[in-house]
Amino acid sequence: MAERAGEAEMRGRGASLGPQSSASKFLLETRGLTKHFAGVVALSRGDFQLRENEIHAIVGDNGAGKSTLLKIVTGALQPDAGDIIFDGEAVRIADPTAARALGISTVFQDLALINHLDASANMFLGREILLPAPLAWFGVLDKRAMRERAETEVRRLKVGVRSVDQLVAGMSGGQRQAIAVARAVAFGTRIVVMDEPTAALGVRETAAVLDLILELKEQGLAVMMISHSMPDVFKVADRITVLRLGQTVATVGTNETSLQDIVGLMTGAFGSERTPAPEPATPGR
Amino acid sequence: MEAVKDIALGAMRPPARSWRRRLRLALLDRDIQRLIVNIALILLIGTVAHVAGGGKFFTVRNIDALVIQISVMTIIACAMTLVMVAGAIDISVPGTVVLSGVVAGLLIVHGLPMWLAYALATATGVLVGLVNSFLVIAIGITSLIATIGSLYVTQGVANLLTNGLPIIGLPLSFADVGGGYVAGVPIPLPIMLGVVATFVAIQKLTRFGRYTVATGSNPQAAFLNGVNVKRTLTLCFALSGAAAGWGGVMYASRIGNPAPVVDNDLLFQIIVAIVIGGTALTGGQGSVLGTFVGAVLIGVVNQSLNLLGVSTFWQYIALGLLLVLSVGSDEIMRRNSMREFRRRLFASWKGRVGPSS
Repeated sequence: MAERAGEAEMRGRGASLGPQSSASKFLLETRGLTKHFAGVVALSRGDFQLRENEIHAIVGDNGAGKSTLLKIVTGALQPDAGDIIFDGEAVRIADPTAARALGISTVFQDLALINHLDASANMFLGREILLPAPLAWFGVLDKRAMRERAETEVRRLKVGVRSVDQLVAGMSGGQRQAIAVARAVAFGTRIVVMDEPTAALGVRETAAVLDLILELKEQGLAVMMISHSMPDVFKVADRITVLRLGQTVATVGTNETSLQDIVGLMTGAFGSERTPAPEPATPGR
Repeated sequence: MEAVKDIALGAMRPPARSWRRRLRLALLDRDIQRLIVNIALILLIGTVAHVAGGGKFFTVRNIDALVIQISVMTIIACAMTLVMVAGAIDISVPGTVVLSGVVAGLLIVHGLPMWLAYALATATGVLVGLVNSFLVIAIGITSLIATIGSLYVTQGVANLLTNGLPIIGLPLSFADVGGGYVAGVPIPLPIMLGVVATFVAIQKLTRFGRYTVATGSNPQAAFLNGVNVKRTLTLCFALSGAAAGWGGVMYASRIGNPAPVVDNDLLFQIIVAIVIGGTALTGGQGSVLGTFVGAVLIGVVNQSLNLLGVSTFWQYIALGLLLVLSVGSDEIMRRNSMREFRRRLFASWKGRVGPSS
């Protein structure tokens, strides 16, 4: 395991392609991802496959390793071992910018919006459009171009935000979510990763956000989402991956399973024959 | 208020970018509300002083004196606004002012051409700014503490360079940038307006300006979205240092002899101008234009009291009251409307009286 971690280190910074490419029929696949925090195993067998154009929910109890898996995929954490295969190529995702360059965009749980900026500025944060040459040297913004593109994007997603030049501080929870999603999908994105998209939303806004997730699929994107809300998962997800105690327990199609099955897998009440005996935790790294 | 609600619920008509809609949005903008109130105060106080002072306030002579009085403060305050919008503060500016004034004076006395001495003095300010950003970013000291540290260090260095004495033997033309006239116009006026315009443009038109807001409002989110928070803060401190360096040249020029004496009043006037201008100490919010108007307001208050022969003691009281009233009125305006205010008041009543809750 330590050798594999070293190998991952040697692949260098950025989302460089790995030396070997592993054949994969999935858009994104992770194999045997492992992550320890000061001797505590957060993830010991993170296997996950995301197909093109599917909504894939990751569920599990607190501490099951969902967030760790998500953070590795989005570049916020580096795995100790394991492989990430994106579009058939083994990749290393060094940071969130590298993930974004691959086409993996994240909608963070706290949305990571800047309250003091308007919707358009938020959507283009970190990738502003500048005016042509002499002015671009001074970093002069092309506000009109950004506003127009932001409006197009918002309209394409059919979200209930009428004006992109209002501050996000004044928006409702659902609208803020919509702006964060619009930002995530606006720039050649192929995978949208969503962390608890419906947490802290009211009934009506939850419905709107679920519509938005379905709309993303409609637009041909793949969605990977973590959720604690089983009804929401069953409403939108095509497949569900269940994590328990840092291991992938099962991946099942939503229409071949039931709420009881999923809860059983999450809590370990059954499906234990699929779960191998937990490996002894490696002390330290 | 109704408009706020409409916009928030997305119930407004499609975004026709008409001037009416823009005006409506603009009037809801806190920065613009601030601006209007402050300009009204400037006109009101000016008029009162003009009438009470026998028609001497709105005269070219008086306005020129006012400009010379506020120019240094305004120039530094514009740059420091960006620092504060980015969520930091730069207390070291009066130290930098003294140091760069002394550096300019010494270099000129030692025979350097004046323009080069000015440039090197400004560069000294940039250096102080870079040291500040190093302390804040690389070492992780709170900007308040780090820049208090460099305030003392710069003051000490300025004293060491001059043995604590004022510099003498400067040519008369040294007094030009801080208080001279060309074709009847005080030289500080175009310099000040130029600096204000530059900083307004930096804040409103550039990516860096937008990044200062992001950095001050939510540094974590800014970082996750690819904003280089550290570079943004470094540039803020460097600009603040540059402005303080150049301000030091003008300050020394106005005094005539650069002396290693820190003017703490300058620091507080700068902060008061920024806060009156609507900049939040918590970061993310503030405008350079607002700071400029705030600085003019301070100048008008001081100049009016001077004109009316009110003693300096009362000027201190006036400045203190101005600050408190300005921030207080802002807090009240932030409650959006009296209706909201009453609703909250009523809610708290009900909470106290109602037996069920």
